[in-house]
Amino acid sequence: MGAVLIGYGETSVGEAVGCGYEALNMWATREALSDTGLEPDDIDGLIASAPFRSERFPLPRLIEHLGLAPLQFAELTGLGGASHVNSIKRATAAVETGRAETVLVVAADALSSEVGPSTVIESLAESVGTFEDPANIVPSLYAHVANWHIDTFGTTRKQLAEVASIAYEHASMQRPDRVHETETKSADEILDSPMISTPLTADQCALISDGGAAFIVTTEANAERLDRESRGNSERPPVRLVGFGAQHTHDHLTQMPTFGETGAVKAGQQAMTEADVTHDEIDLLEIYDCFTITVLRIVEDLGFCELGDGGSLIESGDLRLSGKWPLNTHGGALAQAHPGMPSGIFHITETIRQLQGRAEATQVEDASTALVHGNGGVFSTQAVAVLERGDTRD
Amino acid sequence: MTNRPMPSATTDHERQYWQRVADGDVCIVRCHACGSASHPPRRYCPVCYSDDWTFESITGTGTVYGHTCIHRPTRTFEADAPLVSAIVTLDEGPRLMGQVDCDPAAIEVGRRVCLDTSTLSSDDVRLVFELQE
Repeated sequence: MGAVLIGYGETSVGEAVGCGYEALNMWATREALSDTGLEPDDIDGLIASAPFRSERFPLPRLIEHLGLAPLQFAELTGLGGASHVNSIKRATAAVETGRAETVLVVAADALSSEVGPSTVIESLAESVGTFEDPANIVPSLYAHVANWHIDTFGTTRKQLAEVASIAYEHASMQRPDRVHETETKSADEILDSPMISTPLTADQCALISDGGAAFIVTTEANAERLDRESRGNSERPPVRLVGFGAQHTHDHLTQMPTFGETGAVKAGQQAMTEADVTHDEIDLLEIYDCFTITVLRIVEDLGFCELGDGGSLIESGDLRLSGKWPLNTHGGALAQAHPGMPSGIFHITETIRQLQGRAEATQVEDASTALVHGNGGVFSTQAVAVLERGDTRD
Repeated sequence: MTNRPMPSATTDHERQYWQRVADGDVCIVRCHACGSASHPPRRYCPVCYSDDWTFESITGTGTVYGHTCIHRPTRTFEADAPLVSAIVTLDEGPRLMGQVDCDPAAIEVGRRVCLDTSTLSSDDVRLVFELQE
């Protein structure tokens, strides 16, 4: 039985949304149920994201809170920003093998108000472990790779900053409750924000936000039934996973085999080969953007340009809304929201919006094929999915 | 500069590693079963799973692979900012991360560096490199 993504839900996002971890997960779930015309009883599978704060048994606690018991399939994610792209595969596989009929994938956290920026920064630095320099915070790890790129290929700081400028522009076009940052910023303004770790300024680092999102995967038969029963005339095609790839390569940045090849090379090839699509057939790119250098490296490794040419691609305008491959049309973790572990899920809900033609001001015309990417750790885990509007190959 | 005391380790191989660093003898792991060099130390060789390995002292020379000048380090090291951090490819092969005592503008990928072991003690196990000509 084929599986499809049928709809999504999002909470408001920002610095103090006014809800804790459990309530934000309920909020995202409520929106996803309302969007798809499903009832809580229709959900028999769950993939969730643990809270940033430490908790002994987060999954049973969340299941009880969401009122979804009994479930026959429930898992927690653990791949950081790569978790949710990976969850698309896990959820569709669960449906296709009959382990569940309808899976809710949800991820939300109150990273800003419940955990707080200084705790987030310090505890993420601790998680790096004792064998890398303890002065390093996560941005400084990515910064090592950014300077490697600058020294090796002549990439400029302004080209890196342009990644964030694109993100702020796309965020500014959203409804205000959907984004943490609402104003556009030029590359020069991005460069003028406080220096965190050269060459990365504050505006080139992911936000620290409250918020979350959810999406629902079910059988094609259910999707057809729901379309008939509850949506009437609304044209809302299901979204199909047509290609997937993942690579797990290292934990410590010093143990990354080479900065010149992340796992995204193979993960991307796997996903695009399985989907049987070429780069020219991709209508939009949703690339995990914890830092500007992440995007610059990943567009290279996914083959949208050669290694070393990421700066030129970013400068070319091809990644803006009017360009060949609009990038992170919701604003990404740099400008839309970054609630910690849940942050990559917005790249997926945005993809669903785009492929269902519901993306309002940032709608990519005739979007039918999208590539969505997740990055976990420090380039440690790379997950790539190719999603298509469900009626594309009928 | 702010000292970094020896981390409290819970396993024998990690205790031995940090004691060697504190003694000024920074080591990598050499596996005698497969010949591979690795870092950080683990109970079993990450290539062949053998436990037939020993610590091998490094010469301390290597080449800068990545670098950054940290303006906002972790709280403990706030007073040291801005400080230069680098990933160094040791001449023995494995990579280490450490601080570099230099002008931030002077460092770049490919620069040769040498570990300054004179600062190492049980009260301070920060790896500090110096730029070579």
